[in-house]
Amino acid sequence: MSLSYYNIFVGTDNGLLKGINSKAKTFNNLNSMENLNKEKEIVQMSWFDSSTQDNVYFATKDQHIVKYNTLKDINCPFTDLGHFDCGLGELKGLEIISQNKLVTCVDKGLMKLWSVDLSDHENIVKNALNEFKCGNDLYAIKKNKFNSELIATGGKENDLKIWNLSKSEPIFKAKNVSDNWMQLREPVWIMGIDFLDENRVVVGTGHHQVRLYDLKTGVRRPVFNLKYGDYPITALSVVPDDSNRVIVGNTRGEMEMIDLRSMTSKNEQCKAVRKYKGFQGTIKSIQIESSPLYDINGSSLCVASCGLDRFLRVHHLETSSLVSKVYLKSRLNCLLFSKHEPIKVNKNEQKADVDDDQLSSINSEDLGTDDLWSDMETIIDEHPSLVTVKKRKLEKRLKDFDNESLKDEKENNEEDNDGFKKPKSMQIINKKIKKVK
Amino acid sequence: MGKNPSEIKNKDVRTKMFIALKKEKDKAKKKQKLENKNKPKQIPKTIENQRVKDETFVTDLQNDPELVFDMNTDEISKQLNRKKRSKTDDDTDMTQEEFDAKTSSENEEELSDDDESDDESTDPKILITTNDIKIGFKTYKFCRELSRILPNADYFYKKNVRLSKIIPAAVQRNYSAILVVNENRKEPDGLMISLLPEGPTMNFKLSSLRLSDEIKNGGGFTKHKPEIIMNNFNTRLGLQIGRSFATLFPTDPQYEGRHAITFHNQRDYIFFRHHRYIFRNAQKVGLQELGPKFTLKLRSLQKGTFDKKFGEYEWVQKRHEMESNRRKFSI
Repeated sequence: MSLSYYNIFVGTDNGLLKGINSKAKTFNNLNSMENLNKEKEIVQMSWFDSSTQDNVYFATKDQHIVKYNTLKDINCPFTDLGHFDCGLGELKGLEIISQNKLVTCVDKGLMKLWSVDLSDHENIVKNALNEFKCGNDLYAIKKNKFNSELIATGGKENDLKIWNLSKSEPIFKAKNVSDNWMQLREPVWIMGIDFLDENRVVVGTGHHQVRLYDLKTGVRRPVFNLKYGDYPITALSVVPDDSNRVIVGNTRGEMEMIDLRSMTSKNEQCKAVRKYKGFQGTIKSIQIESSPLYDINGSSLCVASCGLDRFLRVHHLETSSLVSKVYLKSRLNCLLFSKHEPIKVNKNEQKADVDDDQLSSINSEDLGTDDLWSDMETIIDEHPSLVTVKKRKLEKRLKDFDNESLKDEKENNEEDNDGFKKPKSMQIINKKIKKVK
Repeated sequence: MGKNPSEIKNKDVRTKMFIALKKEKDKAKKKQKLENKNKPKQIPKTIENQRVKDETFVTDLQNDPELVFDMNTDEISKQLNRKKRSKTDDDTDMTQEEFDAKTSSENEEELSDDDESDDESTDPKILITTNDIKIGFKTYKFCRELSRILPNADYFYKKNVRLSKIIPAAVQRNYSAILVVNENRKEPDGLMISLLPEGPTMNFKLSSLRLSDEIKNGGGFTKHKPEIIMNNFNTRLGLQIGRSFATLFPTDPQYEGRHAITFHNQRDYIFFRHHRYIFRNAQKVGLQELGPKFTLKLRSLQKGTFDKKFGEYEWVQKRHEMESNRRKFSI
């Protein structure tokens, strides 16, 4: 169980890394604003190990890669892995393959596999193991979650290719869909890629299409080719429950859940299963994760999304209700959603940690006083204001009567000391009852 | 006396009674007024002061380091900085020569216009066109007036050129912004402002336009640089829009011209007004409206230059989602 103050991490377009506690709706800038500029824009973020989720790797536009440790009490959470010579162009993607292997990709098409030795923090050894040429105008790169050797790439006029990192040629090259009814070629522009399972890839395009490729069938054309809306799809994420559902976001701030099998035949527009509302601008990144914070009707899957409208939003997947919304002041590029709960930043708790000894001494003293308090009798309804007038009268009568009865008893005792007490006491009780009445 | 005066049949008595009653009533009214004077005035509930709280509201600009940082690194700040640099370096002649070389194929009149503005080249340079090729007279007049108000602005006929081709050409010719007026039913109804070369692009609905000759007792126009007044641009979005409006005008107003341009935001509508003022005495100020006047409503704010199909939007007006609450505003 990893402990962190934040459960969502967001990278902005001016180079800030933000940690967000979506429950308390607070955020912190993790790196300082000094010597940041547009060149330091955070392009892509990735977990080092997606099972523990305690190390974040993020890549900046000027081909630097930085590691950030999310755990609670670490003096120096940032380790700069330094400049990676990824080739000409802007850095587009970063994927962590295994413990010390990562893949970088630039928009001019050069993808590189690196081995990085992190054991020595002072000088980090990095070697380019392999290079792949993926073609010009690259827009998206994605690692297969189920088989980390497979990597998918795509871009503008650069159709989907799937690479096995041990081979220099792509193992799958997509073929463009057939020409339209006017005999015109369909343009290609891949903007978002995600894997449904080991063999199926979903692709979102700039020409508002959602396509599904199946590697097993041996068909290079998409199995499904759906249209979604009228604006370019900028972000896409697969719902991780084998239900063939995908969440799609576009440049106009429309985010909807699509069932890949629900094609309406005529215009090939796909049906939206569910709509997520509240967006004002382009959606840049979507991530689905099960978060124990928001458990509604037994499902805890949540969708976190961010974009140019400077808001981070967390929707519940099944009910599509907005569970959290945080204003983050900068335009946001990418996000990472952790499955762990954030720790509360509680001032009292922190104090308790610091002054444990003092507190314990105070507690022992307190215990003594506690005994004193517990020894005292609890007094209820003794205050005159709490007692009603009737009650008071009744009590007075009872008191008077008690005195009388005591007198009587004394008299009786004086009169005869034999064993005739019982009936007399009965008489007294009867008298009492009469008087009370 | 207890009788209702309208029931008395004698007219003389009736009028007397009526006058007496009226006097009483007036007295009571006066008394009430005096009492009310001492009471504190109640603040009326308006839509503005009942406004729903907005997280992006900018209350303290200077004490928010992230906001200042964000504003200093965005595209609009580049425009403002460019102006400052060209002021100090005085290397504007170079760009002017380049510009002349590029525009040598165009009319001589335009060149002479540009020569006039040579010594004020710190000013933004603005291109005005229309969306349609054939335009009505009112739209033409509106464009002309815009080019008169904005110092250093040129109006061109659209001809048969696409906007996607005009924009790179304008960037090449050192224009700092492009305004496109849309026409519907022979009246201008939309305005697109795109800052060059990096954006942002704003799309406005334009309504209730009055040209300067339609304004009663309107004043004449002088060529002085105007003063700019921005009102109520308070949210993060509003700040962005206000700053991009400011880049359209030169930063050094000529105060002897005594005319001010106001952008007043109220309930998300931006009112454009143009006035000449005079200080009559220590208390009184005289205002004379110069044209034109119109209102703008933001439709979208897009990152980058105009690209309707593939552009990325920072803010889009969604009427059913956003305007379900009457007291919720975004600017």
